[in-house]
Amino acid sequence: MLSFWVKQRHVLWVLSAVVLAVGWLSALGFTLWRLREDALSHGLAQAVIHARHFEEHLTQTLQLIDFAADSIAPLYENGIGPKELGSRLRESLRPMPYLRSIAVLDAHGQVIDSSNPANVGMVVDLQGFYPSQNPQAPILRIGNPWLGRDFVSASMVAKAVVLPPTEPHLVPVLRKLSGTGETLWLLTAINPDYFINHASNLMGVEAGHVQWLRYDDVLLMSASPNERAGIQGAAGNFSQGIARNEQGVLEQQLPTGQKVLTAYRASSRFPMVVAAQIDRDAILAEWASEAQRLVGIFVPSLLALAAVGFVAWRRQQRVAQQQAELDEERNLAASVFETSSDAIIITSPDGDILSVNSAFERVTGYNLAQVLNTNPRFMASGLQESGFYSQMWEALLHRGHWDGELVNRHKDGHLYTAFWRINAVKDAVGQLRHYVGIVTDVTEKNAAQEQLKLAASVFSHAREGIMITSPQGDLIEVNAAFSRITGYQRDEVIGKNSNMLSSGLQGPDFYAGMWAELSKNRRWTGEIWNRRKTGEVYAEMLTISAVCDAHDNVLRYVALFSDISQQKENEKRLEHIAHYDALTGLPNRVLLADRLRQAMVQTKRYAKKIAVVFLDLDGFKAVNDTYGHAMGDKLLVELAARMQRALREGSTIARMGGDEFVAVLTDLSQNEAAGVVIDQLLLAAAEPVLTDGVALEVSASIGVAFFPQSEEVDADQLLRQADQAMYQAKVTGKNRYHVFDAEQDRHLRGHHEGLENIRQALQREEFALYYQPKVNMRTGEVVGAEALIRWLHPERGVLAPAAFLPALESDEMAVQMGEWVLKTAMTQIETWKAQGLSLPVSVNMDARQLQQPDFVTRLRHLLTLHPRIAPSDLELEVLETNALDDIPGISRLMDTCHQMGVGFALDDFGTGYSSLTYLRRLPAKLLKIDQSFVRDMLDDPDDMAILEGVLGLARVFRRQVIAEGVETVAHGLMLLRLGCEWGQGYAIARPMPASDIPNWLATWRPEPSWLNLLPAQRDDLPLLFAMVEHRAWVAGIASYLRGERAAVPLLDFQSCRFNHWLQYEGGHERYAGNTLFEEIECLHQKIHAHADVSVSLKVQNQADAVLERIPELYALRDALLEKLLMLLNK
Amino acid sequence: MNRRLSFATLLFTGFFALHTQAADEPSRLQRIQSSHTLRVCVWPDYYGISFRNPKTQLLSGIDIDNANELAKELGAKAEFVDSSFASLIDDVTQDRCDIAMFAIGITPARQAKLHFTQPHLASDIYAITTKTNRRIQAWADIDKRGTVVVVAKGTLHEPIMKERLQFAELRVVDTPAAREQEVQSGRADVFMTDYPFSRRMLDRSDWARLVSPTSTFHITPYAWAMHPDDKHLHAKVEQVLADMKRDGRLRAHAQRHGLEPIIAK
Repeated sequence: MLSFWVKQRHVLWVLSAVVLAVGWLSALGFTLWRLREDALSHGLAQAVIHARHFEEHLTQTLQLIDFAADSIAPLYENGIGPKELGSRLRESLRPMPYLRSIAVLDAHGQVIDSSNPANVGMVVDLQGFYPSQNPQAPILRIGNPWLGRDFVSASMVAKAVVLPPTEPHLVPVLRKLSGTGETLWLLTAINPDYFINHASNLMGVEAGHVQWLRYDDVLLMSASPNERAGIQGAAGNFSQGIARNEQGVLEQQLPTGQKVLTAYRASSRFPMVVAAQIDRDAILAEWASEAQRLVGIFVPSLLALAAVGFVAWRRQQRVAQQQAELDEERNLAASVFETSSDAIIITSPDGDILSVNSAFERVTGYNLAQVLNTNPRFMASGLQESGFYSQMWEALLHRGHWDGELVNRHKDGHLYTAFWRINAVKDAVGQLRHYVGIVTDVTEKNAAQEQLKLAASVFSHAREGIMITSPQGDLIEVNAAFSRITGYQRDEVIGKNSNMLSSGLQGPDFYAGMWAELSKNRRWTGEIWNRRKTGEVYAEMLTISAVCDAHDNVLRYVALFSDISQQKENEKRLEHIAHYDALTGLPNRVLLADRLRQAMVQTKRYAKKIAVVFLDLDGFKAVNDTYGHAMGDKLLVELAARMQRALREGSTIARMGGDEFVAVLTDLSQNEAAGVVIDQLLLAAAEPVLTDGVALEVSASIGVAFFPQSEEVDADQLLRQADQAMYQAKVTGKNRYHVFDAEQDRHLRGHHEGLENIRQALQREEFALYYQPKVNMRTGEVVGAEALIRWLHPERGVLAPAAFLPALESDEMAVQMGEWVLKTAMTQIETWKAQGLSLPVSVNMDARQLQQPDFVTRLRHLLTLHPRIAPSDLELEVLETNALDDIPGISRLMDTCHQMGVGFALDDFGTGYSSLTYLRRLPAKLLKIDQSFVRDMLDDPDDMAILEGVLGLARVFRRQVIAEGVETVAHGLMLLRLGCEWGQGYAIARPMPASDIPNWLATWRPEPSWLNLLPAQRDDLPLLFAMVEHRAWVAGIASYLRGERAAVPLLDFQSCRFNHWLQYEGGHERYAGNTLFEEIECLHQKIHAHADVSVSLKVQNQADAVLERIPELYALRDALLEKLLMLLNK
Repeated sequence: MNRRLSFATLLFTGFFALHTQAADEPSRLQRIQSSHTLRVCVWPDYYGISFRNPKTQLLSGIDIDNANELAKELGAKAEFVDSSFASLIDDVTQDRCDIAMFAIGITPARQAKLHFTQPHLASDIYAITTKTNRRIQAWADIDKRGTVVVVAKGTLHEPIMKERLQFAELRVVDTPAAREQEVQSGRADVFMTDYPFSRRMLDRSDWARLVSPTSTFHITPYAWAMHPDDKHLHAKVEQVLADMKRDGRLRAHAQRHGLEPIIAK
């Protein structure tokens, strides 16, 4: 842009200069040309003047000769003149310097008289005079020039001859004297010097000369010393024109080579012509010298002008350059001002703001219009000390600058720390003009520094060892913990490769894997064995993270590790404690359950069978009682060892507690194959044991259950079956085994728990009510308890209603049972009331009972029997399915009860397909969501949807909702997020005997994560669903990997429903800005990748590897869910 | 004392002498003083010396000034009488004038007849030719065969040129004007004259050209001439001339007429 304008200006300048120079030179050229023309025309004019003058002079002179002839003629009467005529002629010659002499000639040309007596007698040739025509006419006739001073000494010539220039010559002029009788001639000798002298006096020799010519172009006289009289054509080309015009001018070159301006003029009376020749070169020499002078003035002045112009141009250029530089500087300054990331304030000397840049608004929140002409103190936070500003001003006034940190207040009210640099700007004479303040918001910087300090502190004080290495693994920095753990001081390791710590316990594959993962994921976490300086090998939990640059090139690795040797040790011990019996060293119940489950999975896969062997020692109690527990323990230890030895490899025997053992015999091709082992076990138990000199002898009763069975059974059932069979073995005589018969069992169940048994049990008061608390999960408040009936079976233990209630379905006894429940519950409420506990109790009512005509009456009666019970302490639960069978009746009943103050709840809500209409007509205060939905809601999106729908319904109809089957904390969390606050289930409390309730109430604390957890916003619901989708998918994958499911769940990452949520259902839209979101995406992909690998392993039948991978899958899932929850909580 | 005495003696002597002369003869000086008229012969064509301007008829020239000065010294008034070199001796001797004052060249012939004062001027001889004369370019060109030299009759140049010229033809004309006409008409090449007249030619004639001798040719002293018997007058004139020379009046007059170069030493 700049050069464009400069170029333009240059062109303009050059053009102007060229135009000026051309104009100037044109003017000069024109002037010179004009001067030349003027000089030439002036020369010509001069020539004309000269020609005229000399012609007149000549004519007058010749006229005097003519007069002289006229005055002499009368003297000659009869042709004879007077005596002494010579002296008279001399007298008359005296005043005529143009004549040399006069002579009178007779007709023959003989001189009769002459002014010079020497001439007398000589004869003159009368030929050769011009004009020769008309000889009688008394006119002057001009002869050819004669060489000589006088006639007597002259060489007379009839024809013109060229004469030498230095010798005197004369021009003879002849005239006939008239009136003399005889023919007489007057001959005069014209003195050329006279004319030449006259001409020379008027014309400088150098300026030109005059020629006197005869009319026939013979040169008579010339003022030029170079021209010789007598020649023809001396005057150049004028003779051609003279016949036409007797006067004229012309420029010409003479035969002598001289260039002249010629003016010629013929005498008005006589046959002579005068030509004035002005030397053209002389004329032009004058012009040339004038031109030279003019050029001498002109050219230097042009040069001077050019020089001045050039200087002006250079100056202008310099000014333009300076201007451009100034502009650029200004632009730069303005650009710096505007683009500075720091706020810049310019104020007047009084401190009023004159200008701020755009960064100012970003830092302070105020724009220019808002702050113009105001004092910057409006930014003050009021937090500075009172003397702060006065010190600042003092510094500004004395030193001209101040800098420091200030806490200012942003326009929106928040405080920020700013670093101010204020400078006083003075002009050339030192007068204060402005203050310029540069304001940097250092809030973040300070925070970053804090963080840096913190990080440094963490680095130094971390309990974990920290190593920072180069990409090649060379140690760059280690912290104190590193030295503490490894034993190496910092100086010993810096610069060395981190593999110096290697223990050699891990093979190259391990490290290769580690590096592969590092390069892939930029992170590796795992346990590793390293070696201390002392040589001791120890375990560490190591996390290596790559620090990358912008191009994802690794700059550093940061490795954090903690010494987990101790932990490993502890884990090992704990694991042992957890899984092994402390006394016998056999696996305990927990490990057994695990092994059993594994074995069950294996059987499915390999089509083998397993046998669960329940073993109870006979007579062990007697040993204990007789020899003490120590002896008993020794016995148990010995027997355990023996029994273990009796088992085949792969089988497990565990001590369940006391003298109970369970063995799981695996890999059985047939049931019978177990017999041998069982026999061995019996033998091992029955063999006496010599302990402290005493031979102790016991035996064993064994129950056996096989798996698989025709019906689906779980591990617990298997154990119970084996237990049952063992019981049978005991009953039938001990020291034997009994195989559980599933068919027989089914048969027995139907009868054992028959109506009679129930009646008897009722009479024997074998039934009891267990109470399961209901709580508000969000507040932790216990809102009540549900009474659940249990049969405390003397042989079978505590039986759940499912074991006996179905038998009552169509029996009158159900009513009786119901009444018992109601009475018992009310008694219990009263008991608790007496203890100071107020716990509403809900009771499950059978439809049949509710349909009793006198139900209400009886309820009232019961209530009157228990006066301390408020009706609101009691709640009746009716199954939704039952209520729907008789909506009008139930509805009425509900209304009536409500009037009494007794509340109703619809139990197992959701299973009965309630239409909205029905729900409206059943005025139950509480809806109890069926636990089947709740239990699976975390893994089943459909259940989750139902749950959400139910909750929506409840909200619409303003019913209280409680979720049953809250089995885990996660269930509770999800329910709370869905807006369901009340819950009941194992995660809160299992059903418990009434006596346990006070204790429970006293000790129960709600799950901390539940407290005050607010329902998720509507927009977050898709996220909740997405979580469930993901859990469901992971569950599906896990179940496939375990072989529990044949079909592979959808593996493709893109078509995953979770991904669908991520990309399309608002995940991306709602959370994209969140840093967690990226991690979630990443984690999700990682899970898929993991699943892909696992599934392919599964396909390759690498079962063990697959199973090993499942925990990690869950870990990844949980990590993802955790992130999702974090996202949600944000 | 002696000097004063001498001066008194001189005065006395002078008085006595005058008295004696006056007593002896009716001297010209007495006549002049009594008549208060000094008759001075002049040649009215002598440019710069005693020239009568034909247009005004007024006389001017160094010797006119000198004559007026002299007359004043004598207590008289100058009365100018036309004369010429040709008539000079007669005019003086026959008492047509008291003194001739027109720069008269002291020649032996004149000295025989006249009583000259000390010379007040001295001039060499010069030649005048026409500007267009191509033959006479330098003094040496004059005495050549074919050259015609003119002198005025009675001038001091006549005898000198007669004596000096060997090849050139010498033509003597009657008047100074005639010699000019001869040269101007081309009948003669040069005429000879002195310094004052050559001035006049150069000043007044456009055709004249001066040809100076390359070395001294013949210097003639100029003086005033009186009757040989006028001793008293002569003494008085000599005294006045000496005074004028001394007090610079002569030089002033010469300067006025462009004749300073020829003031006599």
